Amino acid sequence: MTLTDINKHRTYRITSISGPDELRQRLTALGMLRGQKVRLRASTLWGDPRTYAVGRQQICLRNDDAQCVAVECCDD
Amino acid sequence: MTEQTFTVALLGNPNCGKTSLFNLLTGARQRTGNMAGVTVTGREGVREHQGVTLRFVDLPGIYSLSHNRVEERVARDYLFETPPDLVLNVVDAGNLARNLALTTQLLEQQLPTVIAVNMLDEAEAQGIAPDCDELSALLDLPVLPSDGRKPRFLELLLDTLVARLQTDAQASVLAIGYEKHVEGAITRLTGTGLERWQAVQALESGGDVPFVLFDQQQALLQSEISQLESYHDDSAAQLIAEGRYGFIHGLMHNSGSDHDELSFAEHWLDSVVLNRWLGLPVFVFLLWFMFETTFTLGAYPADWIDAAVSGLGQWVADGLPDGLLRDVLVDGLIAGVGGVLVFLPNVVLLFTFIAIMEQSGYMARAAFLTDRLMSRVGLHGKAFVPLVMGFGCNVPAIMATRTIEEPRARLITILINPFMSCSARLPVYVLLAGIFFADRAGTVMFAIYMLGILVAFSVAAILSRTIPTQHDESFIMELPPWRVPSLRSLGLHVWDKAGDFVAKIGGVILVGSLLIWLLQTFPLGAEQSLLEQLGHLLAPLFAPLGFGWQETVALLSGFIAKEVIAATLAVVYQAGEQDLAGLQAALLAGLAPAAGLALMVFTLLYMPCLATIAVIRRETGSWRWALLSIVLGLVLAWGGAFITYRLGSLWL
Repeated sequence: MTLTDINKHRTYRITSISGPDELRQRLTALGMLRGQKVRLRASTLWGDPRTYAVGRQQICLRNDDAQCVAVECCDD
Repeated sequence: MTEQTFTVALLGNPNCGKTSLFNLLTGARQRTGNMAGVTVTGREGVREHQGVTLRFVDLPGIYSLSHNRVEERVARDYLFETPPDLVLNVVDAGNLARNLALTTQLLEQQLPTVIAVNMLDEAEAQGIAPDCDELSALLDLPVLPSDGRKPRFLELLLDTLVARLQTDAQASVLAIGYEKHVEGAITRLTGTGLERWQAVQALESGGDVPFVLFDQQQALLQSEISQLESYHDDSAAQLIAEGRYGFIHGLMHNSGSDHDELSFAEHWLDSVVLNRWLGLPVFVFLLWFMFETTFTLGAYPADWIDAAVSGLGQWVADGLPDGLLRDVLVDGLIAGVGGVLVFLPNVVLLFTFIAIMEQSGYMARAAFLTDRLMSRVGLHGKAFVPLVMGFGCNVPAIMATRTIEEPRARLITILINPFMSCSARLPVYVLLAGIFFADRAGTVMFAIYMLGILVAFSVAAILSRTIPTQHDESFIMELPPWRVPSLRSLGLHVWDKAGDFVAKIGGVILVGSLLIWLLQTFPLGAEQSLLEQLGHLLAPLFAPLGFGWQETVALLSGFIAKEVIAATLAVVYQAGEQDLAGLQAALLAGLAPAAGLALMVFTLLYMPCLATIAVIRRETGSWRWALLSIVLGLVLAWGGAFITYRLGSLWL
């Protein structure tokens, strides 16, 4: 399951980040790391790009990039 | 008395209030300038405190010293090559963990650091304010509250900076314990003579570092990186980042500030502004509101300026005897400069709106909303706002492309901007549509604007397929928290832009209008002025479009500023400028309706005015792109006008 599949009302945890080095570096720099909790915050009319809440930040990603972030549901 | 001078570099994440703090620290004595050899501007400012001169350098906002982005290299190289006496690390209290990740890099590198915790009031309101004293004890360096928008903490901050600079205290070294394979790699790399921080930075950045790596070190580094990658699924950079965040979470646990709720304002504002269905309509409404206000509200001061300028012109005309001096002052200088000055209120208003959008955090949200549309033609979400600004004036619009970081997307946005019909072209449309299409004038004008947008997007689509792509084309952007813009920095920002407009563009316009005046005036007493001769000379070029020498001259003069076109038409058609009806009759007699439409199309598309060319040259840093813009405009205008004239002749 990746970020592109997640549901707006649940919380998820990042399990791994793949993709090109450049992308991984930029996500890392923004504090998007394995183990962080993620929620879907907003989506545009076309469903791409979307905004995710990671910690107290909101990060916009295109779906191409979001696909590289694997997550698992961690709702209690 | 010996005066000491120290350099203090301000460093921090983007949007942490660093520049506001810089402005506050350096006060009125700030001077701005580009840092040598870089595209990202760094600013310098000086302040004296307790007999010590502090030279502040504002480095670009970055997340990390080792992720190979342009602005990161600038900061990293600066810190390595010309180490400042002190780094003032500005951190955002509302987002401490990520901000401290950069701090750990500074401390590993053993740079003498003082931390200023910004946005404390925001964090306090949300109950997540960190304890500065606790943090200071844990990190063994001064941690001070600061607020870029209020001077209340300034004295204490300056005292601490001076005290720190004068004590000559040895900066403490921070050694974060990383994952064991990473530690192994660090040990092997330090064995080749690298320091620990150098080994960490090299691993983190894949070998892109400011210091020299010998071939054998480089080889070892690459093998260590690929080994780490094979042990784990993560890259070395990710493993190291995890180490940093682990360390920081430990700190925050101790100082009791680990909390991750979004604020209330963020919740409800964003649920409207970023709503899937409401987001775009709200955006369009805000843009419409911005234009409406810019032009209706701007019209009042514009009228006053206009009145003042013509008053001055009248006064000079009355005060001076007939002659060349009077003519050059009144018709050349005052008319030319006044013509630009009239637009100052619009420019100021437009920039105020843009600055409010930027500082409040809305601009990033607009970029998010429009990214999809823009990416279809190779543009970036952030391109939308400068393009819409182009309807006002292309000059500030092109300056506003600075918010687009990707150079290629920014270049395309600059080059297509002149096709967004600026307000200076409006008089021409109003005049011509009123004459030839009196009953459908509104529709014709709307069609002209739409044609401009269509051409802009087509050109963007073509350019994005010809200009080589850089690998850095993704749209990864942090949405900043909503903030109330501070009046002080808003004022400074707008003042800066207005100054730019008056000084640089006013200079170009001044020279240009003198030139036109010269051409219109000389040779004295001859049957044809130089301008008219030029018109006749170039008229054959424009004959296929249905234009006579009068239109040719008008278009030529429009090169200076597009407003001039209507005025030139009036002059060459021998009609008094006050007498609009006379001009309309003369034009109707002299020009076919299809040629009138073609003239509008030509005016829309042909080369940008002098001021726009100057600003394209300045913002792209090369005459090549300015020249391309001219040629592109002329070719498209000629082709477009030709098609319009031919097709129009069939139907009209």
